[in-house]
Amino acid sequence: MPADRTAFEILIREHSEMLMAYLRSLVDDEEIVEEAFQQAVIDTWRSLDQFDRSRPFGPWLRGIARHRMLVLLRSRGRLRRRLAEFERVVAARFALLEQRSGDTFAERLAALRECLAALPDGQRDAIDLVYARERDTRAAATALGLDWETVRKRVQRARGALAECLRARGILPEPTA
Amino acid sequence: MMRVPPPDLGPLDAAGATGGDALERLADERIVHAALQTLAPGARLRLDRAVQLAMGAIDGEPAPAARRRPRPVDDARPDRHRPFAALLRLAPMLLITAVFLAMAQLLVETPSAEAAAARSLDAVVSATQRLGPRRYLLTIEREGPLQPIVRRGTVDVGPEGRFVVRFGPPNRAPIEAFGYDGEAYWIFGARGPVRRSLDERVLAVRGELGELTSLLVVDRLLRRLRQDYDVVIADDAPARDGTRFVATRRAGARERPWHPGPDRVTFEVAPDDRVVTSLEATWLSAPGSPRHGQGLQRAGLPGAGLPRQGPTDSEGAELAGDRQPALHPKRLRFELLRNEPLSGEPGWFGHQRHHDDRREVVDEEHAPPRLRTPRRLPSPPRVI
Repeated sequence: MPADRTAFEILIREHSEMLMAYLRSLVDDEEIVEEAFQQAVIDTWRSLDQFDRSRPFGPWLRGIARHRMLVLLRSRGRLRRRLAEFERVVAARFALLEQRSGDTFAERLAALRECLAALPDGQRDAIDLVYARERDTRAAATALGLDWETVRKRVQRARGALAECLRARGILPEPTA
Repeated sequence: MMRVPPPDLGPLDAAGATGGDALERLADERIVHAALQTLAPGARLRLDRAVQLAMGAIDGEPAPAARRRPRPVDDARPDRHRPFAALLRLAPMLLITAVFLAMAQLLVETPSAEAAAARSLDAVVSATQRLGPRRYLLTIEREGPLQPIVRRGTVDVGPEGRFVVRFGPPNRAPIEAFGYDGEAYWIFGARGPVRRSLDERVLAVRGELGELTSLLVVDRLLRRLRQDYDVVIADDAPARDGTRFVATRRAGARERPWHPGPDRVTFEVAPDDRVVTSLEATWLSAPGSPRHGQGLQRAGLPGAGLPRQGPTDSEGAELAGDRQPALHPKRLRFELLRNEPLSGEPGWFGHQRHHDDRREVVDEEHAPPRLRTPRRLPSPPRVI
C-alpha cells in the first residue's frame, strides 16, 4: 500500500541520521555501517506489523540494526570481544539523546555547534578541516602548517573536549566513576 | 567515505582490561565523532542515498499488513474434496464473523472519519511527490503593535525538495529570497552576501522569516500535519471542486523546538491531480501565551549562538542586524497560481538566478567560525 510506504519513509528519514550515527559509534568500517543500515530498514519494514505502537520507534529500529550489524561482523570474523558491553553503553546514551526535543539527530545535538564555538582556535580549525571539509589528517596538517601527529592529537583532544562540553550541558551522561 | 581517524576501538578487544568508566568515555567520543561527520557538506546527500537505496529495496514487497502466512496443505485429502473441506472448516468462523459484524454495525454507525481523512491525506502526500513544479502566492500575517502586518511573496516548489520563496515586486529582483537548490539552503536580502548552509535553521536566524521558514513549503507542511495533527474532511462547507481538510493540532503533540506550529490548518485539494489549491494556517493562541514567542533565540538553535563572520553593518539592516523581537505569526496563506506554470528547471532553484553576479556568497559551513569574540551577539529576527 503506497500510503503505508510513504508513512514508513517519513519515519525512516526522521530517524536515519540517528541510526547512522549509532552504527558509526560502534563500527569503523563504513561499508558495514551502510550495509547494516540498509538491512535494518528492510528488516524493519518486513516486521512492521510486530511493532508495538505504544513504544518509541527509535530504540526498536536500533535494536534491529544492532542485530544486523552483529551478524555482519560475525560473518566477517570481526566481532570484538567487548562489543556487546560497549553497545549497551552507546545505546543508553542514544536513549538519553532521544528524550531531548527535536525531530532529528542534528536538532537534538544542536548544542554541539555551541560547544564547537567554544573550542580553542587550533582545535576548532582542525575539526573544521577534518570533518566539515573532509580532508584527511595529512592534508589538514599541510593546510595548517603543522605535522601530522599534532593535527591528529588536536582532533583527538577536540573530540574529548566536545564530549566534556556535552556532558556539562547534560546532553551526555556523566561517567559512572 | 570520510578519512577521519576515529577514536580507537582497541580497548574492546582486551577482555576486562578496560573499566566501565573508560568505555563510557570512549562511547562519548565515538558519538561526538559520529555527530561531527554529519557536518560534512555531502553527509546529507549520502544519507539520502542510503535511505533511497533501502526504500528502493522494499518497493517490490507488499505492505506488512497485507502479508499472510501460507496455509499448510493437507496432502492426504484428494484434490476434489479440498474446496468442500475448506468450506466446512470455515463455516463456524464465518457464522461467528457474521454475528460479530452485525453487532458491530449496530454499535458503530459510520467508519472513523479521522481514519478516512488520514487515508486521504496520505494519498495527497503521496500524490504531491509526483506533481510537477508549482507556484503559490504566499501571504504572511503577523500581529503588529496596532494592526496586522502583511507580507506577500511567492513560493515555487520544484523537484526533489527544491523551492524558492521570493518577496518583493513581481517580475523584479526580490528584496529577500530563501530557497533550497537540491544541495544546500540559501538566503539573501536586498544587500549583503548570499548565505548558504546545509542546515536551514542556521539561515532562519538570518532572515526576517525566522521560525516560519520550516512552514513555507506546502509539501513539507502536509507531512508535518500527518504526524502532529488530527485531520478531518470538512463536511459542513464542502469545497466546490475538491476536498477540504481541517487539521487541528493534536493535544500532547510534540512541541517542535524551533517553530511554533499553527493551531489549525485548513486546505483544499483538487479532485483530479490532488494538488493542494489553497492552504491557510492559523495561530489561535493569545499573545503572551507560552507557545507564542517561542522564537529562535530561545530555542538553542545551531548557529544561534555561534560566532561567525557576521554580517556587515550595511547588510545588517537587511538580514541580521537591528532585529527586534519576532512578531507573533497569525496567519499563513498559500494560493496555487495555476496560470503561472514553472519549468522545473533545477537552475531556477539556485540563488544565482535571483540576484546579480556581484553578490558575495558565504558558505556558513565552510566559513570557519570567527576566532575572536563577536562584537555583537545575534539578535532576534527583524520585524516584518
